[in-house]
Amino acid sequence: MSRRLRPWAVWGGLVVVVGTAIAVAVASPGGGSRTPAERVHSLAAELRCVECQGLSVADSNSPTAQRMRADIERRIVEERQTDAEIRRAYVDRYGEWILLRPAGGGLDALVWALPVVVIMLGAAGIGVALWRWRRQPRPEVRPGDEELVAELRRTSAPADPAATSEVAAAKATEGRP
Amino acid sequence: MRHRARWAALVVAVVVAGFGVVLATQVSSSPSYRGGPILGKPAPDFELTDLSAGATRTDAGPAPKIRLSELAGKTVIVNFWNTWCVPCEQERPALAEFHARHADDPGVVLLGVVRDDTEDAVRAYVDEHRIGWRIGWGGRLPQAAIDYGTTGQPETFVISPGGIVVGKQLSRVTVANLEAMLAAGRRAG
Amino acid sequence: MRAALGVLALSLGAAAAVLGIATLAAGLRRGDGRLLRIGRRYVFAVFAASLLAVGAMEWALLSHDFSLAYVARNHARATPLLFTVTGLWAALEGSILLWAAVLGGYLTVTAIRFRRRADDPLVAWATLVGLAIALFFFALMLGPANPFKLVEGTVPPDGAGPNPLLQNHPLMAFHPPMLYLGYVGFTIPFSFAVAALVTGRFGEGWLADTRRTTLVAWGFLTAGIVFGAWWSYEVLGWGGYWAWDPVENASLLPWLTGTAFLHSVMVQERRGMLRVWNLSLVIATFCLTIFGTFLTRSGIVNSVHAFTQSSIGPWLLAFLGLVAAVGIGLIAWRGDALRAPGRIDSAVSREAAFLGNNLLFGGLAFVVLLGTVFPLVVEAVRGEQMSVGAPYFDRMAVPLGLALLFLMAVAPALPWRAASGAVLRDRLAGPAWAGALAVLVAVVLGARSLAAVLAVGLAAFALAAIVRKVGVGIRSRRRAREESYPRAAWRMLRGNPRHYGGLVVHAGVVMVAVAIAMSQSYATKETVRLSEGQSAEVAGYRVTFLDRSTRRTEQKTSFVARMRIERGGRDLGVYAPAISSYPRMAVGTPSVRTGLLRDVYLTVASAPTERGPVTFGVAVNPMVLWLWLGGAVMAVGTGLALVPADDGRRRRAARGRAAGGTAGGDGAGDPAGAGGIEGGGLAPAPAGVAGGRSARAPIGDEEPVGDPLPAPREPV
Repeated sequence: MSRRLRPWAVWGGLVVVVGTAIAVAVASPGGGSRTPAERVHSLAAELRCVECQGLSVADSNSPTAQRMRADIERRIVEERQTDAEIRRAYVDRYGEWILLRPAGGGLDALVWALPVVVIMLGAAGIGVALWRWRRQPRPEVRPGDEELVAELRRTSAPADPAATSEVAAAKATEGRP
Repeated sequence: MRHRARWAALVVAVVVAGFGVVLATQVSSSPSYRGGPILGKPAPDFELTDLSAGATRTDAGPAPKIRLSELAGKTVIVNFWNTWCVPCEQERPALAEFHARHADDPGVVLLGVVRDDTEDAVRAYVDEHRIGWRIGWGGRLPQAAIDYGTTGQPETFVISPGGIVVGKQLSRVTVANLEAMLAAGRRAG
Repeated sequence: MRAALGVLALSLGAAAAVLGIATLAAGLRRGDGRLLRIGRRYVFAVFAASLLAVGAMEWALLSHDFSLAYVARNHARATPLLFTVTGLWAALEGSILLWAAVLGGYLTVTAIRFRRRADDPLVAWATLVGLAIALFFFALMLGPANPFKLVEGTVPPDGAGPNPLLQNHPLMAFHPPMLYLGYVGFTIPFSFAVAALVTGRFGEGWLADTRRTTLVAWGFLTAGIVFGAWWSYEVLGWGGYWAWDPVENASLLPWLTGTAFLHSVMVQERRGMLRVWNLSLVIATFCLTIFGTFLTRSGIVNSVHAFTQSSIGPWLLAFLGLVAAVGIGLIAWRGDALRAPGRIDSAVSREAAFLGNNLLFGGLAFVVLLGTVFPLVVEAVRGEQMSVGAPYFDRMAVPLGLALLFLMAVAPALPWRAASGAVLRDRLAGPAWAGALAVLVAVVLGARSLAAVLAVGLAAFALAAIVRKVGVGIRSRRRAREESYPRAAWRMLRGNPRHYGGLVVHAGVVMVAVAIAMSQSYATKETVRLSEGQSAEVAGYRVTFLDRSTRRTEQKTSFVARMRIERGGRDLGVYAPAISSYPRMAVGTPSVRTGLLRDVYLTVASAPTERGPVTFGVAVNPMVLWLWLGGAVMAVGTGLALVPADDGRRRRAARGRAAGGTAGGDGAGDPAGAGGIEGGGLAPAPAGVAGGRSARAPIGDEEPVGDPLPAPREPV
């Protein structure tokens, strides 16, 4: 391209546009406080349907799930309980097991922390490896090297492939062990 | 560090081995839901429609009700059941015998609460099998079923005369189980 | 009779496996090529035995032989023909049988592919490992999971029949075999990896040998997972396609490491690096397939798929331990000898991108694994039960998925070794602006979910990068050879199907990503109670309950409700959700109106009484069709990537030879042409070479950038 935009125009403009759009999306009020139906749904999505295997109360149509949704709605509308109170009530009846989002302290926190730690460690390891590689001096290309490589390529290529045994051919082309 | 791959392999091996030990201990034990933490807590109240054979169904007047609060001072055995679950059918004779033994004791109440069934099926079943103890109906899935932390049926709870849940069994009951639960309830007072 | 035949077949299979292992071991020890060639033949015997056992089981099912406990438990006289045949894999023992048969098939195909290299220790070791794994599965069937066990006591006149959930839909026929073709396929690259470690030939040979098998296995696994999601959505009726159920996770885990492996091998092919990564990934993938089997069959976790508990758990765990120990031990033994010289020059390069790919996929696999087994760990340590469900997985997987989407957009445009700002700008600026535009449009249209907006933007970015790549490739080809657009496109595809197949798969992933983002963020679900004639409005759709009907068969009672869907006054048709009551369970059948942009999903919430209003579930799910279409595109792309490359060299070489000259300038060039062996796919002999030939075709860089250093010699 004969006419090129400056790098800062291309990338900077990109960041500005995307950043603004995302800020608008995230910051706009999500239609005020949530309706009871939305609260029922979001709470039900966090509770485990007791008769199914792993489905949430929001997703399940089992009789227990339907009753639980009705119970949650009653708690929200009639007893005006908060989300936390409703969760606590269910944990009191069913145990921690009923919460699909691990919330207990101590050991439970591990399930949230471990992946973050592992990925950070991995990223750090890669970063360290890259840094190390950077510090190694680059091999220099000396005057005779390119001819040497060309010579090697010529002489090591099998002249008549059909004559060589298949196994040797496979071995020869496997690259350095 | 020399042989970095070996050190990494050692770490991985230790993690995998630990993991394997955990799985090994779990694979032999039978995984079962051990029920909610209701033991030792006050028994949640409920109000159910009485479907028992003894409660006459009059055309006039409201259906008779069973309320836990009205049973204070008695040892109450609450049995969640329905007409189609196989272990429920299997434990029915035990319940019948237990009921026969204690029918004259006003301090003992055996109450069957229907869990996940239709009213017609229950009425037919009660008639057919001549069930003598109290049967409570609260809709397809009564509020009591989730108040007591049930996940299925049969589940049996014993409530002391003071209104505390002192025992529970999540499998089908025998007469011996029921007697033991009754004793525990009486002891707790 | 059938049971005896079956057990005989299993015994023959186990015996053949033992003999094969012994012969190969002896041959390897003595360096005797003849023994190796003989040992290889036992693979065919093992396969034949497994087919015989499958035949015996099918015969028993089709003839209603209830003297077999398996048939009595999983089949009934009234079972329709299709489900009788598919009853082979309806339960534990039968699916082990299926596994063994598929494994036999893969081993046979591999043996035929490498027939010219039967005396190659690498191939011999790989065959030995494959036979050992087959032996394990035969031992399972002769031990705790015997499909041919006889019923105790009197033979029942009729069986219990399959689980109603398994009879609901013909798709049941395809989901398990496809998954197994995926799982079991990874046995081959695993056995070659072990062989490579043992023989010390851990260069690129074993990679080239197994590239096609890995791709085939991956393709089937992907298809199996998508099918499973489709079945979950269309048949199970809870309204979703993925529940982070332990068995679903079990199929996802090997897919994640397998995808990482599929990509990471490109670095080893090109630069010889990341060997430990690749060996670890393929070993992990195979271990995860066994682990997945353990998880679903041992009864250790509760799941939608929970099969009857059997004593198979300890066996599978022990085997898994053995495989893991062998894999880790071999890598540890070889240690630093595995490390290749070579370095990654820049953080902004294709190699670094693949390293990031490994990290992200590995991280995602770690999240899924941790979440699935954490409840077990907690119960073992604390004795209490807790759950890890969809909220956890969604929270963890979404950021990783978005990061992978970003990588998918950027990496194909990165040059090997190092990228300058100018190159990046040339290749990525346009697509990046396309992504920004998509973000703008989404926000303007009212999207407020951060994850959805980012997903759409990154998806547009990735798609634009793909389109650009294809366009540039066609254009440079046209300029070079003055061909018409269609011809240029065709020849470009044929010249490097691996690369363009990969791009097509990526396009499919883009579709799937958008579908997931949209359907997760903007689905609407409501529960409505309607009597005949009443309507409800959900998300702009008007649903009217027309009438009901009840049908009774000897198996079940079905309640069917007919409903009309309208939108903006336009009639969109009549749909009929149903609910069927079997003796001990009720199974809902959803009725789905699949639209290009939105699905209307109708369910009957619970089996109603004869009269009175009925409770329905009405959901409007956006973009779900694109999930299935995306899966289909991925399958097409995988097929394309399997096509052998044809960049005209063979034809030119043949023409050259016909004209009397040599295949000029091709160097080690054209053994396929010279040897007269066609079809790079199954060509056994030049397997090391032909497989390498497709590696020799440029791995994805049609736009030369100019290397600061001469490229190392690539394996030909």
